[in-house]
Amino acid sequence: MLSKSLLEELREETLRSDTRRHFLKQCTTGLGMMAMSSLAGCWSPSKNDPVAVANPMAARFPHFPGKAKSVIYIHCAGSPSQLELFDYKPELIKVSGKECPPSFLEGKTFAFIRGVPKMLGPQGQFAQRGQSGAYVSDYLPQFQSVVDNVSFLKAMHTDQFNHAPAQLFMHTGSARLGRPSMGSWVTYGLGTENQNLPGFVVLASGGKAPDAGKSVWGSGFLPSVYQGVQCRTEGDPVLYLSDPDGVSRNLKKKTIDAISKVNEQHYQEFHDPETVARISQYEMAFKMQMSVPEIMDVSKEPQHILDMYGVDPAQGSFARNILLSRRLVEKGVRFVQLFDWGWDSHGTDSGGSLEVGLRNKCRQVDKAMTALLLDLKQRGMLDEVLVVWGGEFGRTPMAENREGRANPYMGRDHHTEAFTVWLAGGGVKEGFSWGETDPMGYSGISGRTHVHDLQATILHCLGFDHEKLTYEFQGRPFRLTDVHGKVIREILA
Amino acid sequence: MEAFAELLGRLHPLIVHLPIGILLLGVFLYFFSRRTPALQPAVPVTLFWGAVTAVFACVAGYFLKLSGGYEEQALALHQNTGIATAVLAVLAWLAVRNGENVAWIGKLRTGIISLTALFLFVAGHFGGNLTHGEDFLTQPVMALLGKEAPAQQAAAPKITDINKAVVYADLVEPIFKQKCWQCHNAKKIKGELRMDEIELFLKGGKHGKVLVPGHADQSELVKRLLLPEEDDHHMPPKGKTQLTDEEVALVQWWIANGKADFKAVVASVPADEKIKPFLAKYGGGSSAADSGPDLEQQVLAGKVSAGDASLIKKLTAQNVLVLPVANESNFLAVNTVNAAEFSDAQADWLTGLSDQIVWLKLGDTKVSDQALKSVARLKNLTRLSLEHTTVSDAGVGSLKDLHQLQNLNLVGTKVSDQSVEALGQLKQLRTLYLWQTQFTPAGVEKLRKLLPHTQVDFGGYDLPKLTSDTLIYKDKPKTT
Repeated sequence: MLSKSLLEELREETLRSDTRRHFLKQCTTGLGMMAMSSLAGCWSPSKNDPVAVANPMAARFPHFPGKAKSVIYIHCAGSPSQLELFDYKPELIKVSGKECPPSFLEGKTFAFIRGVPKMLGPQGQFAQRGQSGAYVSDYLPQFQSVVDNVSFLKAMHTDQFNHAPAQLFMHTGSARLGRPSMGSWVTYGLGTENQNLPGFVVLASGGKAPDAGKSVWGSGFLPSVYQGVQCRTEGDPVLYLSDPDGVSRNLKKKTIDAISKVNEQHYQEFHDPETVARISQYEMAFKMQMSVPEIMDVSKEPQHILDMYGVDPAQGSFARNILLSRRLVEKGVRFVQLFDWGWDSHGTDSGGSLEVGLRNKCRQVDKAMTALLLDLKQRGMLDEVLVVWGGEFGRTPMAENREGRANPYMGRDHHTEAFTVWLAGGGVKEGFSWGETDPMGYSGISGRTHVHDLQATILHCLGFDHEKLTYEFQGRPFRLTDVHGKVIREILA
Repeated sequence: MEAFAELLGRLHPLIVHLPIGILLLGVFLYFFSRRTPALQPAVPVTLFWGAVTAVFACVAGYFLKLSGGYEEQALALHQNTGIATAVLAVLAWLAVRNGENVAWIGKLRTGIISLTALFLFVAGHFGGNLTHGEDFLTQPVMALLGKEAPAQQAAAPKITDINKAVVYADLVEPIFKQKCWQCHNAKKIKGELRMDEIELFLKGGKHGKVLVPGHADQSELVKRLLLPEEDDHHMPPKGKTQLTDEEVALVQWWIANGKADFKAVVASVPADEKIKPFLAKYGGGSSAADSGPDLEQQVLAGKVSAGDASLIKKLTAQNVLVLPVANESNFLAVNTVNAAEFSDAQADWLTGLSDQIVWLKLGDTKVSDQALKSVARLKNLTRLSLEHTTVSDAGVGSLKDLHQLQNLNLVGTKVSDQSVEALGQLKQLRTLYLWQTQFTPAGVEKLRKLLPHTQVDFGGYDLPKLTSDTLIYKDKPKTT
């Protein structure tokens, strides 16, 4: 009894001392601010554009006229060895089998190398190809014919030496979870042209998802409408998209209309932008029911194109995804992100070895990625599509010695200091190479390019100043390149 | 003794500033002392030291002359005026000191002193010309008047097509001109080397030839460039403007890969890794079609009024994307990717935005030759896609007035060899796509001849079937 009366008394006292001012003050920091932030906090590139609020995926325009209109990003998850494919190091042959000098190890951390490993010479047969004289090894016999369409970045470097953080770093600009991916930033900035297809499509192959999981195509703190839509390469491209048995398309339409109506009421009440995202996702899913199965059906491609890509339409594969990426950008999809698992050549087993596994992986992609460039070219699309190819980091010029013992196959450990990425089309030079590594291929000695620089360059090709494509979150503007990044102007056409 | 003489010689440019300063002070004091007699005692003392340092400067100058390296005529001018200045300075001192004793000198006093000042300026100017070059003073004035001095012009050559540029004349010579010729020219032949004349440059200097064609590292010129800057033999000497790393690389490339050939063009010299970024600055390393001025950039740099909003709304209602090409730009990109039913009648609406539309995509729509008559009125159009439409030879003729057109996509249309002439007029095109048209290879060849700067793409690419395409590598464990 006593305690109850005390509590009541306290409450009454509190109410009495609460003045009108207190109430208003609380409103500005409490309720009022919540409403404000949901109204003003998002959609910064299109805040004043009523179309964008109603349809966050509507096509928009960038800061300056960009050369590229869409991006196909081919990510070889696990990271292919630059020393076997593009970065020819004849000096490394001479020291192959000798002990690694201490200067390569002091103060460095490797994922698996312990003690003193041995140097490992390049396993491919290198020659200069095309008029530009770019080195490509016999691992990629088809790709040799298109080097004159490509710009190589030979001295890329990153901050992360493990797959998941390095992949996150490559695609979100941060090694930790929670940031939006490149495709999300791009669709947030540019929307997408085709309103019947998702703006950001993800195609994964190789049997496993990338180590960093779905966060590499997540939208982070951006409205979730900008996250990548993963299309499966076998069975239904998008799960649960086709009508279940007994449900007609008409009934589905009515269902979605009803849900949208409820969602709209909800939005009127709370102004939560996530509700808008949800409405547009339902509507897009409905439209995608028609357009996605059609576009994902590569058997519609003529035989000579299938032959050129080396694709068996009945089988899901990296090559088929590459062909799909062309079909998607052709229809106005803004960003196609490809992941293929299995490029991690440590030398611990035959699949993960330089002499067997890497050769087989290269064979799976060589013809398709070569065909992609030629096909985009003959369709007049290469001027406006930026193709990017690479892994999340490089590989060491030393052979891996896991836990101090030599591996049974030839392999290299993860390496942050040097790797190769190539870009083609959409505003980059043809037949060009930027950056150079030292004679051992250990580290870049000129034209060193950081992951943030690559991201800044990709955004630049699309017409964005990477420092201005920002989103207000937790009290400060965020961007893909964090506080870094420099556009690699040297490779711009 | 000889070393001392040389040192003294080298000090000449320093020492000359003593008589310049002191004599000028003397002249001023002389004229001011007429009004302020209190200054009078200072005049003879100042002129005395002015005369002494002037003579000393002459001696030092003589020693500098002995070390050689100067063009005779210009040197003689400086020497004679310099000696005259010294003589006049002595006379001036005598005039103020003994004016009363030697009558005729006293009478000429003011004249002698004025003449000393005049010669001081003349000699100083000639000396300056010797050290800095004749146009040293005039350069900024000329620049101010809008007439760029020749040396500056050479420093920033305008290269339109890097592949056709002459390595020496267009790339290397401007570097030498800016950073070497100052001392290795007809007037100042340092180290007995002249670089301004190809024959004399080849002949070399005091230590013989400076160029070894094909071997940059054996060439004295390159050796000198690469020595540490503190080294006495390093060139250009410490304190002078140095060559940048890029410029050194260019010189090395010219000597090594270009065999120090004065006539070689860029395209004929094999490019190496170091030189590519440099050539890239001029657009080298990429295909010929990429070089030359970017018409599109020029168009987009211009200004137009905003397009008719009601018309844009009308087009948007038909699912046509009409968007500015960028923030704060009134130029428009029009895209019919969502409007497969887009027809000739709707294409006519576009003429209402004839100034604004720069990019137009009409692929996979119902437009025909009729629509091209409307399209032809979009005078700022730089990119046009008509792929997979019924456009044919009859329509292509109307495109000839699109003087800004850069990219033209006719893939999958009905155009044929009949269009060679009409398309051949679009000289400014950078890319033209003709895959899956009725063009024949011969027709394409003809067109390529008419459009030397255009990438005419006929498509139909095929990749060879290689055994490696299907070869599956098998397990073969490493033997340890």
